[in-house]
Amino acid sequence: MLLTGGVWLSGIVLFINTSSITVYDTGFSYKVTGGIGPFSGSLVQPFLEFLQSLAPPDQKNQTIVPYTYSSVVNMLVMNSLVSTVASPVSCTDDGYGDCTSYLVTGGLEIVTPWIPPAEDNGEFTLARVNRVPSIQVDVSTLDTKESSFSDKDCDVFGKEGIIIGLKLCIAVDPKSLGSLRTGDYHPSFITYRRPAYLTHTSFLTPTGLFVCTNGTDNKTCHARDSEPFLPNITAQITFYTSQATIIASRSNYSIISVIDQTTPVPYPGFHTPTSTNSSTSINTTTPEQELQAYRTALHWLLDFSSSNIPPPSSLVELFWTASLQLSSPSTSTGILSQNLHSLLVFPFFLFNANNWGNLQTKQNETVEGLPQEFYTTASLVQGYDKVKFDSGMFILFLGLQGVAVVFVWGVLVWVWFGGKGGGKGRLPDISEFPLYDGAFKTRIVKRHGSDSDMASLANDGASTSEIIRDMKKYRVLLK
Amino acid sequence: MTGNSQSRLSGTKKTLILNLISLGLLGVTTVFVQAAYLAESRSSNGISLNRLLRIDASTTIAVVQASQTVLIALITVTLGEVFEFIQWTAAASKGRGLRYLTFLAMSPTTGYLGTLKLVFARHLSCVSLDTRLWGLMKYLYLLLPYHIYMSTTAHLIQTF
Repeated sequence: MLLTGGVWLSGIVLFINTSSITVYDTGFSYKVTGGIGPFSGSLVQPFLEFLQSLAPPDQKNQTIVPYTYSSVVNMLVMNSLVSTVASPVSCTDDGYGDCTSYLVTGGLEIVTPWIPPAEDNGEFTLARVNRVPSIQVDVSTLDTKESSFSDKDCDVFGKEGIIIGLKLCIAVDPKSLGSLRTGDYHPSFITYRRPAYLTHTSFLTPTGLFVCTNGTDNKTCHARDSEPFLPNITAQITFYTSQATIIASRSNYSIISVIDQTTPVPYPGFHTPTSTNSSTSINTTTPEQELQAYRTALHWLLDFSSSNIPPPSSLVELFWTASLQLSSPSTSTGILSQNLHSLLVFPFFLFNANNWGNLQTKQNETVEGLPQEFYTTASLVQGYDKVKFDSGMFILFLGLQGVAVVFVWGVLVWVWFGGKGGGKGRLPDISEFPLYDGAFKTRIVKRHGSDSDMASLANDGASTSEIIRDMKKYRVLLK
Repeated sequence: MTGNSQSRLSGTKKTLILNLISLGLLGVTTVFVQAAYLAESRSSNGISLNRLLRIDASTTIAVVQASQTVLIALITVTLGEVFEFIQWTAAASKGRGLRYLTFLAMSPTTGYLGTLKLVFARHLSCVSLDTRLWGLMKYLYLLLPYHIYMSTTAHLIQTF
């Protein structure tokens, strides 16, 4: 019964749990450096000094923010050339957009030497960069107030007499690590609901951006008289390091797929001492130094007064003009939130060992001395969509079909070699017409061997039930 | 080879060919299924893909589905032949022969209702257990499978 049922069952099981996959045909491969490593605070000051050295002599007291950077800061995590959406680690999106995650790999932009032009190996329209270091950033909602942050957590950006101003607060609570381990979160200066899904160790960084709608005065942020609180965006941000293989288009460099990502590891730099290994030295920095360098980087980007950028042309203006949207708790902050996320991620993007923040890097030339994980391979590839059958179901299919095939072979072998003469395994000469064979090649006998009176039974017009009842005594023999 | 052996081979030649074709189709299905696994492995290892491994999902589904449909039809036919061998070999068994009701149950000339009547005969003593089982097997592999298989695969194809 299993045999017979199995034959038709096998036709169905093969398609159960089938999935579609994309595979890549690999063409030309070559060695590259690529990826985005963790934030390296020691790179910030030398880089800013280098920019300063480029300024004209009469502007040496100003900071320099090249357009190359200021033009991309606010869109960094939305830029498909360097960033993609990721599956969050520290939070779960329950459908209200209160948990977002980005994977910043740097894409082909950061690969050195550059990917060959599209006319070379033109049949391969994509490029794959294998196992590049990357930064994953989880951002979850945080319900907090300006007063929750202490003064030392915040920087105010503005200029006396100018109505445009901004206050950015980043609180790194050293207790958060331990408290999350025990499941008992009790920071002294911040009040928010601790999501139930945070059950593992994470390094959380509560962040708040407050718009000074009535300008700033002596490092104090002012709201308009009519506003009960400063318009704001608040978030809780967690950085992770990871490695990922990316697939990007050769024609426009967009990252189209991330495959083979390793499990993200929390970035501990703002909480515990970290070591940066390179082939020439090992640098150890304290959390305070890292955080101070991170603040310095943000200061460099936002302080339009120091860089002498007209306030309406600065990054601060982006948030200041959206104060109405940010003042309503019922309004979605939408892209403005992503602008804030981009701003917070940018120091990680620029000041890692494999970007221009590291003055050792060169254009289209691989440099020595980077941490080993930045050295990888890039390949020109072409994608193909495939259907992938479930391996368990395929084995079941083979088993069901195989049993039937083996059974048929077994019977054939039995017929060919099993027994001689009139013994078991003798196959009589039968035709393709079972009725003919049944009528002319068989003999119906009663159980004890005497011939039957079949003709009289048939003549009596017996019903099916009567035939079954009466014929149980009969057997069929070959003539 | 003796005349008897030749007779046995010639009697089973058709079944042998059908079974060999079935094996070939089983091979085709296996190759196309395995191609996806191999392509995935080579892709993740950065090795180039040959022409077979680059075949797209649509062609794979078409080939596997066609192979499978023909394969199942052939195996069903082959199993029918093989059960007929068993039927006649049992009937040719020296001295004993085969129960007449079992002969009817196994016979391809007995239709749906006749087979069911034998399988589910009310009086247990009338129809022996082996007769009922043979009838049930024939019902499962010859009559029922075709309808279930065709309707299910049609549904699966629509789902895809």
